[in-house]
Amino acid sequence: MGKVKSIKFQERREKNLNIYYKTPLKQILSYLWEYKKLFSIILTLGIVQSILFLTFPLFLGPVLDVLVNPSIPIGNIVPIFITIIIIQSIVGILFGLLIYANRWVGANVIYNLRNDLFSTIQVMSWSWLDENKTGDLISRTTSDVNLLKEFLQNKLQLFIRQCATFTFSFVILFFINFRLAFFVLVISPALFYTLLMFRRKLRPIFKKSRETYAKITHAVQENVQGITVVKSFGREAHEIKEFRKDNDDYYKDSIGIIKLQATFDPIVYLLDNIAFLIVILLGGVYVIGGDMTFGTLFSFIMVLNFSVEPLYSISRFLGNMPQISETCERVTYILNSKERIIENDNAIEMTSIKGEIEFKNVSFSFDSKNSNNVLKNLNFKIKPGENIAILGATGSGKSVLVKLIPRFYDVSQGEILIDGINIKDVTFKSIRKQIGFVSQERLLFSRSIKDNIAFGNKDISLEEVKSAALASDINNFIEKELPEKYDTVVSERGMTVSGGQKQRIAIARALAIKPKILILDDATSSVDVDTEFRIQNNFKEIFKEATTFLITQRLSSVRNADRILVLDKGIIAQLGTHEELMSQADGIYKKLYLTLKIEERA
Amino acid sequence: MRKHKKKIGDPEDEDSYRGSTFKVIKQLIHYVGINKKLKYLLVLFIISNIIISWVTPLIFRSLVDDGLGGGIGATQGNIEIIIMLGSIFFSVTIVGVITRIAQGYIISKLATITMYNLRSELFTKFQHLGLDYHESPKRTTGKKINYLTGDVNTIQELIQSGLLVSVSNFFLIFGSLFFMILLSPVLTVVSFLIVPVFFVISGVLFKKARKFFKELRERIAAVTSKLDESIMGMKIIQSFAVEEENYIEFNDATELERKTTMKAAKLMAFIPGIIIIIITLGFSSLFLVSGTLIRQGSLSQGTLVAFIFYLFTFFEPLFSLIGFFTLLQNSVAAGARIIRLLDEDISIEEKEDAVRLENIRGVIEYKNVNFSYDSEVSVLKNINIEIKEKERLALVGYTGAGKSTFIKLLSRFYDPIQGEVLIDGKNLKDLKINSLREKMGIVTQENFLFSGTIKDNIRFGKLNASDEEIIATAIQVQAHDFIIELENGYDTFVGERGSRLSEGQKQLIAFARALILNPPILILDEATSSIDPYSELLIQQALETLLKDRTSISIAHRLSTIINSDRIIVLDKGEIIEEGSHQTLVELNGFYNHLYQMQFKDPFKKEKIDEEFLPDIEIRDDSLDKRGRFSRFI
Repeated sequence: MGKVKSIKFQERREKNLNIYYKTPLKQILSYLWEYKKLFSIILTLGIVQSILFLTFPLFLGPVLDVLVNPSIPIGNIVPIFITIIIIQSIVGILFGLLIYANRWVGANVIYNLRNDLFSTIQVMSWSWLDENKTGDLISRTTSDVNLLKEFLQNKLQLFIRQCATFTFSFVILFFINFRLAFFVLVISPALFYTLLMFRRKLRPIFKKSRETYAKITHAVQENVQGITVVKSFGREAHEIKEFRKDNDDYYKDSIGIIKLQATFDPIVYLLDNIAFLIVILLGGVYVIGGDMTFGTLFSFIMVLNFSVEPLYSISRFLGNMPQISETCERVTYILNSKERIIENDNAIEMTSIKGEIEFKNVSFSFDSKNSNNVLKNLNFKIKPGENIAILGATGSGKSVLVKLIPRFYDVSQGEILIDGINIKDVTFKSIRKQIGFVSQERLLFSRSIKDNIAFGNKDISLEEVKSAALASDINNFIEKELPEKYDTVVSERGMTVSGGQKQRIAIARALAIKPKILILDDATSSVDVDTEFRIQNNFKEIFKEATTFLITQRLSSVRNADRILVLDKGIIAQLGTHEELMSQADGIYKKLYLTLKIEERA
Repeated sequence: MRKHKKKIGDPEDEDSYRGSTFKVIKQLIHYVGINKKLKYLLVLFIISNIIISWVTPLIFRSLVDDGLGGGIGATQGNIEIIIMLGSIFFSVTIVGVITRIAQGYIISKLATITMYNLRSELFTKFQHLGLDYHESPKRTTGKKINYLTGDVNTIQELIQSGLLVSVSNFFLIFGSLFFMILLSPVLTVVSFLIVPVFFVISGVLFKKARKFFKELRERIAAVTSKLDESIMGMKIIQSFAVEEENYIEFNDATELERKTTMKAAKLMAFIPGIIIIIITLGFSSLFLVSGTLIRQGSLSQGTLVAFIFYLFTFFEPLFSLIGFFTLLQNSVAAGARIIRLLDEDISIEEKEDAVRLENIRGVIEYKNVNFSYDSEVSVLKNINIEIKEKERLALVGYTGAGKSTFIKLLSRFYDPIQGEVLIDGKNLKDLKINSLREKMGIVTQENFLFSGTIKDNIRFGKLNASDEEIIATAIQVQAHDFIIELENGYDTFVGERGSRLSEGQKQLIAFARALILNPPILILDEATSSIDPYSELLIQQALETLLKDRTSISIAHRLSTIINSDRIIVLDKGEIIEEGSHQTLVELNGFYNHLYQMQFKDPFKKEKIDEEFLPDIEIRDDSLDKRGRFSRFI
């Protein structure tokens, strides 16, 4: 089932990336367009329903004429009433169908949109994930999409119906009395002009207010996350002052919008009543002059009433449009983001990795201009099963180096070979499934501990989960401290697990896939010295065959590795065993090791 | 200043705040701050609008009967009367336009002011609430942000679209009813015969729909939390290449949302259709009866017209009231959350006669200090210690031993349950909190940076610092070299939470931020844990100079960082178990010595050392969480 949907996703993704849409709104509407058959039915239903509804006041006129004329038997109106009731019942049924069909389409469009957004984020590379704030992505995919849902399910159909009612009520007005309708039409330029001006003025203000609002959200987010720092420095008053500024800005923009909206409605009200006045005066003259019956005038007034009513909704709808456009833009931003790392079309599956890794002239830079290379022309080869510790100053590029291997980032120049095959010629899935990668991030998912450890491979048995937990020295904690042991569900509300424990579960998670290559990017920073030591020794025993990369801050662990790679400003300064490096008298490693040792022993 | 009100229930739990609607509104009204003049004006405008709505149908009645000669058989129209009534109508309209503009504007302004006030109040409240509030695992960042964004917007919307207009709607409804009865009691009865049917049917439908809406809310919440988690964990998902499985799980959630939406739609589709049919039936019977009455001569055409207009002014506000109550139901939870937050007790409050802490020497004293977070597990037990001026103190112990809590008491993030903490002989509780915290430079392992430039972040420690001071401080902590290598030097933007910098770089900036004020007391909470040994070597000397000439307390996993301290305190389970210089403690051959040996032992001789040191010392798992509580379900 997921697969079928994924194919549709591919189709839509190609459209999203390749077709140029004039506005973000049009792009969102293209999702609606997939249901064009049903949507055209909805449109037709809307129009037919509006017209039929308007016949109601049309029929009331003749009824009134009959009623006030005692010479006509009252029974004559019974057929008219039956017709009215039949027609209006049809209107009621059509209306129900319309609403249902519209919600059906809306639900499906939103379903597709949500799934596409999700799938898009899933294929984006890490550099994109780095650039986009998590909170921002979440709000784009949740609250923004919910806003669109409301728009597609309610507001759009309302708008269509109102437009149809407005248009056809004028047709009917002309049908009832051409001359009177003509005079009423005189006010319509003023009406359209007002609508247009309103929209034009609202747009820039709205855009600005969206920006100031985004500032508020950001300020709150940052303050909440950094509250400890704020408090440590006693900066509460300062923060409040800064926030007030943003709050003031947004207040001013909001008032601007209010002024516009508060003026618009009464203007429509004024024009509406002018039209009314015209009808009363002229209609009165016609009725008195015998050119028109009272019933006809009554019908005319009723229809006029129905025609103006939609204008208020239309104005509200148009007033909302800038916000909708903004929302569409925020959503399509994700849909239109290009993946920067693409799988080759003829990429092969790599069934079993032995674990030989070779870097050939590898350079890397975060920005495409290549001005500042983080890694510069790296060349080295790692044997299968080797245990490599990477050492280097902050910012020397160690973390990026290991992230190039599972292709979280792509090399800017050169190539990386696993077992002699360029990783660009292999499917993502087949390499990543065999690489255990643990970073400093300690996120656990809200599911049971067992499922968290079996995250990379759901099919493994509890025994295998346990042995992974044993290797990362967390089995004891799980079995003794957690109420439901491996079935304990991790949730924000309930369980509190310390950073060190989380890290160890994260390590178990990586071990559970039985990786051929294991990368620990500062993965033990919150673990005690003893524990780190135990874990490292477990690795050595259990994962003898796995090639291991270890970035750590502890010299004792570095010393424990087969070979040590010392990075200095993106260049390999040294590579060799501890003994080799110690024998290079003027190498960084020896200097570092000795100084630290001496410092520590002092 | 603590208010002794009965608090409303927990808004996170849908049932417990039910019935507090009125209470919530009453308290929210409090924040609708606006000057009295405007309030009276608003009342005036609302009243005039009501009167206009009441009077207009009567103008039409007279127009039809007198102007058009709408009475039975009367065919004599009167143009003059038409023109006269037309101009009356027009003047009423003009007044109506003005009052409507004013009313709309004032109401929107009230809503906006409320939004503004609530945001400011909530933000201020956040700043005053203690860490006990902010660190509680129940309150995720997302939830806290939502109070200030989503919830405040909901309240604005509520006030904008009806809280105030509903009052006038009540008047309109009852006024119209009154006039209808006045014009024709018979027609009134006829028109309302059908109404109970409408209410019964829609009542049943709404009750059913409510169940679906609750379900739908839950479905959407499920989609949201799945998205939330996936986006936060996207890198992990990708590294395990489980995108497909993850998509299937997400798809299950969206599929359920889609199905529930459609189920609810089926039900909701009935309501408007039924309304239309009922209106038609009502109108038809009204016309039949009124036709008979007109023929009998007991009803004029004008009265009928006026009656129909009153029907409109009856039903329109009625529907908008119904709509308003639906909105109200949805907004109460938001309002309840806001009120609850504003009523939250502040655990650490400044005394009214608190004094500023001026120049200090930096003598710290803990006297019989006991502390626990939840009064069950005690985190610090009877701590007695005096730290001398310019002494360099180090805290050592396992995670959960109480080290972080120890220093949190010093900066008064929490108050001791028993005993007191003194600085230069003054009890912390007697001091102005800000003046106290200004005397301390605090660096934690978190290294939270704000998204501004590097300069902004360093300046956070001293708002009026000059650029020269900033650079001088950066040089002191060895950050200058890497900063000037960045694209824009000190003006480089650090990204959200400093995402463009490495952990170590962030750490150095955090150092500079803490030191720029030249604080007499320096606190380092695991401050060097993110720095690799290579960089640590670099800052070691810097730290050395920084620690000089001030009182300092450091917590570190890495013993090398604290070896040169004047005194080391070993904490275990909230108690001081060892105390002394490095040399003394090593010779004591206890807990500290064990840790020390673990750090430097030769990895290839592991077992031997284990045998030597492990048997008589209890090595615990770090099974205590940050707050020192056992990690169990709360």
